[in-house]
Amino acid sequence: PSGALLSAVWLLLGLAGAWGRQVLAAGEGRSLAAPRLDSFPAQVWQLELSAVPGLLYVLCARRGIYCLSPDPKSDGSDRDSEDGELPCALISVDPDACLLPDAALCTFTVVADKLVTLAQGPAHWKVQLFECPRPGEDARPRGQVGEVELSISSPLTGPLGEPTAPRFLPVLRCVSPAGPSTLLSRVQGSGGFLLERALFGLLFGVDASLLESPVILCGLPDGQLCCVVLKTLVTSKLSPGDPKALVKILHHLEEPVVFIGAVKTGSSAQDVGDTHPDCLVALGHDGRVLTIKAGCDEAGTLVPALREYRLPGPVLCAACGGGGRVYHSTTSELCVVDLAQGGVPSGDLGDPPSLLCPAGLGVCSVVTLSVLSEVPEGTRGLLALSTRGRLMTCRLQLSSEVSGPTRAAAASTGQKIKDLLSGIGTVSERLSSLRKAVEQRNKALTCLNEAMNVSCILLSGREGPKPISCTVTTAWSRPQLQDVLTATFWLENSSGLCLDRGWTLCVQVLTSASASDSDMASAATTYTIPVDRLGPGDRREVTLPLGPGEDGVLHLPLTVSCALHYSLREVMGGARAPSESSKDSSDECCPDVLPEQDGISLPLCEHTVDVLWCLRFPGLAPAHTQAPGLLGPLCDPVDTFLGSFLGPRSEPTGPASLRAKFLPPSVATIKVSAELLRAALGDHHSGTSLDCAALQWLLAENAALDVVRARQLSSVQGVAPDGADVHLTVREVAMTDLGAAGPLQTVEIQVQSSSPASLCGTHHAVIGRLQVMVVEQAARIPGPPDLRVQCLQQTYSSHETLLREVQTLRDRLCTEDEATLHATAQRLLQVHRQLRSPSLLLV
Amino acid sequence: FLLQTLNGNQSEASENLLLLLKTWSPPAEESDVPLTLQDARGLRDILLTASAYRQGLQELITGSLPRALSSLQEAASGLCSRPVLVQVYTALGTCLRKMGNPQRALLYLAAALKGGSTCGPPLLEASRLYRQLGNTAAELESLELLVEALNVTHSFEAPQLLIEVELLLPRPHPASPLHCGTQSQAKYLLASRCLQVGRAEDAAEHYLDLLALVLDGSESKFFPPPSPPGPCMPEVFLEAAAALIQAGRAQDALTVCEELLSRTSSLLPKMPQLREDARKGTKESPHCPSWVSATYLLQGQAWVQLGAPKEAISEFSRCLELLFRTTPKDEEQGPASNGEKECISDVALQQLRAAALISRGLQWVTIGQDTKALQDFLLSVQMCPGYQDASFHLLQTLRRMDRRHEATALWWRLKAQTELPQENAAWSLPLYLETYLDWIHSPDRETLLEEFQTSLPEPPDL
Repeated sequence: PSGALLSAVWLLLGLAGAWGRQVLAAGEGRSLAAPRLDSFPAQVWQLELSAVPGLLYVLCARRGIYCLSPDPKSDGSDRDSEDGELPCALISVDPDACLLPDAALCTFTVVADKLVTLAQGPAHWKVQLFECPRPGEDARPRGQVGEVELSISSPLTGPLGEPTAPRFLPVLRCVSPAGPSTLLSRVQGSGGFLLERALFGLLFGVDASLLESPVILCGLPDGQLCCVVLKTLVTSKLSPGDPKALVKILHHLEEPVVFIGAVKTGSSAQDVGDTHPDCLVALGHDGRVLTIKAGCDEAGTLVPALREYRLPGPVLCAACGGGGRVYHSTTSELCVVDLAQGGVPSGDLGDPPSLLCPAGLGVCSVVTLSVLSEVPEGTRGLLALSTRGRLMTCRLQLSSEVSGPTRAAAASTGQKIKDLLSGIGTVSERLSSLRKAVEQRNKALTCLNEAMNVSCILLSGREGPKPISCTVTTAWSRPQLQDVLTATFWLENSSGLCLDRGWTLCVQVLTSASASDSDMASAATTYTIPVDRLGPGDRREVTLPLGPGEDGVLHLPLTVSCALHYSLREVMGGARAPSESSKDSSDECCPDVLPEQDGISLPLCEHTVDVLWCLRFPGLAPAHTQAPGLLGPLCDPVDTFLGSFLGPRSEPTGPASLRAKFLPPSVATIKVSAELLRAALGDHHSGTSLDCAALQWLLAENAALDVVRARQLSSVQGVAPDGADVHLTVREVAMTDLGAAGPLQTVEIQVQSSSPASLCGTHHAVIGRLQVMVVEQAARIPGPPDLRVQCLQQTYSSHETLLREVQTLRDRLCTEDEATLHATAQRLLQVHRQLRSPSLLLV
Repeated sequence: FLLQTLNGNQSEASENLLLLLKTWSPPAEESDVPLTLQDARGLRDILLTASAYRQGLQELITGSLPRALSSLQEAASGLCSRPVLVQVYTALGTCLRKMGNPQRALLYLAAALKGGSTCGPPLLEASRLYRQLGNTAAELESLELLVEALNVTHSFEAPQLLIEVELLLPRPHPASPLHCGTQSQAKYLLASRCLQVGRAEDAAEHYLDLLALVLDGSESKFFPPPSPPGPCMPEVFLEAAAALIQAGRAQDALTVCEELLSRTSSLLPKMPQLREDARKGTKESPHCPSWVSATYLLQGQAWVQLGAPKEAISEFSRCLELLFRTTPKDEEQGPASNGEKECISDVALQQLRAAALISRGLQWVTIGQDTKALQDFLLSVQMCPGYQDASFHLLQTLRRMDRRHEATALWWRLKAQTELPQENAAWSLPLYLETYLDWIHSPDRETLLEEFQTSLPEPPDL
């Protein structure tokens, strides 16, 4: 019974790979039977049977290798029941059966009583050699006997340093030299194969063929095909082998290797009776085929002859049959190609690989294949498992390979009808999968075309407003107890195109760190808002909070940049789904190769939100729309304190006057030459005086702009975000002492606030605007007016002394104790005030 | 930082670390704290030992011996387990041997051997030491013990619970003095040393054991071949055959050679094809590895020992046929295209050709064909002008054939050559070829030269 079981399990060795967490064992005599179902803790990646001790090895995804001893008793009992519905006993696997708990293991193979594993490391693949447990022994590895690392061309780690899960698993096969001393069962039982001695020696060297050592062939997902002579891998436990001496790279396939096998091409049929495969075959995922044969050069020296071919991909699985046939399955077809036939074109390795024309067999979505060994003469048997879990046997007539799977002529009509129905099922399954694939692809192409068009109009670099634009306004609101500055984004599509699914509006808000904690990096927040169909002429409004943040402070200025982002994943994901459905459905660990950020990103606009955007003007607002933010400063504890200090007898006064009494307001002024300002404002100041126009220009983004414009104001009293009052006054003054040729007409912008912080913020914002303006106007203005240099020099030297004093005062601040701190701070404030007058002049 | 330093190779950083560790005195634990598995003090001691050992090893490899010695001594005085102590003692032995203190080295090695189960590295080191001291018997004995020691298979170890010194040590690199290789590598070392020091019988036995180990087709155990970094497998076969011939077991040597040829037959160009090519006179000839020729050479020598000059001559001829096909052009292309490393250097190839010619010449002499012998000797002198044995054989033959003028001219040349300092440059010949050259060495050069001088009638200038 144990022998029967072994052959039964062998049938499914290759099959249960994609079967998920359960392993089936089926008898060869019946089409589908499940006498045994084991439940594993994770997805099963690979099954191998060690023939001699009779152990089943199972590789579970990210768990390690489990070792099971097939129980002959359960097999015998199930054999009696011939019903279609077999009792499937679900046996869960004992954690103790875990032979090698290693999450990095990707594949393994059993060679005689050695277990060869391939594990993924951060920057290399590691081949390790273990001794298998003997049957009846404790399921414990009997020690590692060898190890070598395979270097790879590209690192396996992702951008974050985390090892990425393999999208394709590597392939590990054992090759033995054909010879009288080689036991056939030993090689076949573990998924290995034999190779003709001449080719073996050529590929793996004299030492390997002298030692008659099995060779481990590794096909890696990066395309490398390399080999390790097994006997040389056995080193002492303590030291890993030297990769340079042990590992030989045979070829680089440049696409993930999915299959390694060997076929008998028979072209070198000089030695009669030598029926061993004489051609090594490796298949890449995208359909590249490599064959290596032993050939002779002009001089008669044996050299390996490498050829490359192409097959229609992507290849899901493959198997080598008798003769030179290679069966391989794509998503849409199970194909067979005969490498032994004379029709195979012979191109040299340098040439572009010639395309092979495989014959389709009319079966689709096969994920695992196995060639049956025992079938009637003249036919070939295939066992195939489809994506949907259909287990099929195919019988192929040797003579008519091309005509598809000719089912065995059934004696009864019932059998025929069954076959026909099954055939129809296969065809319809194939049809639906093909149709789905075409639909997805078309959809993806349409989406990509639209995305291309949008990118073109946005990136064309034409002058003037862009056809797709984004404008920003800010406003204060009070959703909860706290005032919140919100920004409203208007995305407007004035082009003739439609922004469909897949487009997102990305808004990045970059906070400049406040001066007090400058060591803190500026924080950026990115909002992603999906644009769900924005047709031509449509507008979409998006409102986002800008601050204050969790610390209750609004860090100004903020930089707000908007961009349109198109996710390629949206498109690719749709197109990839059908071809990868077989994998994705069963493989929950399959990671997306496209990271989050991959796509098309088109910048729309960038704004700097400063204090001038956020000033509130309670005095200007109409009575019925009293700004809610004013409640904040009224309840200021400082004001309450100051009020109580005055005593109850004094008449009630506003907070402003209270502060004015106790905290003299700080003042900063900036003077700009009227000529410069006039040129910059251009047409905007026509009809109004220059000072009004300048104030409107400063408050261009503020919500109160309309009121300021309507009332022709040149001076406003506002409230800064932190509640302090800010007084902005713009007036025209003539400077007499500076101009060389008479008085210089200037516009003076005066900022006045009781809070130094607000003063600084506003001052900074004003200067920022002016700076931009000066840079813009510098090219147009003929040149600065004549100035009295002596006067400038005097100002400069006095400022220099003051600056030096500031430096010493600041140094002293760091070292002094509490007592003198106050005086120093006072002095510093005073010096800063002196520095500010005479004020900055821009000409 | 610690692990980074331990894994990195920056010696500066590791020195700093060593200093830091030395100066770090962790606070003493109070008596009422909960029971800890490993306190800070113990951890510090372990780290100190591990980093001192690593640094010592590094310095030993880079060659700064006095510093290595002090580091290793520090490690030896530290806290560590027995296997680690064995390693440290062995490294100390290596260091002292290299510094020229063999007796102190021996003391450390003896201590290491007493230490415990892992006695591979100290035994190997001991054999190196005895070799340096010239004590062949002790050297071979320690190698034999090493082979025995490596026979023990490793058992699966339970993972360690605490942080131990072992965890912080790197696994020995093949270049490290603590790498003792596998059993078959040790066996090869033993066999080749036996052959080198002239214990032919032992060498033959050891070589046969080694081949049996390596070629054993049984499924239970794999034994890796000696390479790397030793010779390639065919050379091991050739050395075995040479040892067997040296031990007077010519028949066994023939068997070994035949085994080698049969195992690699599928890789070699077919002989009939070669002959045909030769008949057709095709210029291009298949590349043939030099060890194939060497196999024929050894087979010939085996026949010589068996007293069959005809067979010997045919083997030598075959060898020469192959050797003269191996043109330098082939050497460039052939091996590279196969990806097969060529086991032999150019100088060795010249020597191999000369040796084959001389051997055939000697066989011609044996069967009385002096003319043919003369031809071969002449060729070998042309092939390898610096190789004196050929000249001596030529001189002898000329003398026997009574060709006095040529003999005299050759004698003068030889005399001039022998008076010059012998340039026995460090040609590293394969071991089998060295052994072979000893066999065809003309035994009594001095007497021959003197005899010839007395027989000279008159100086030619008179």
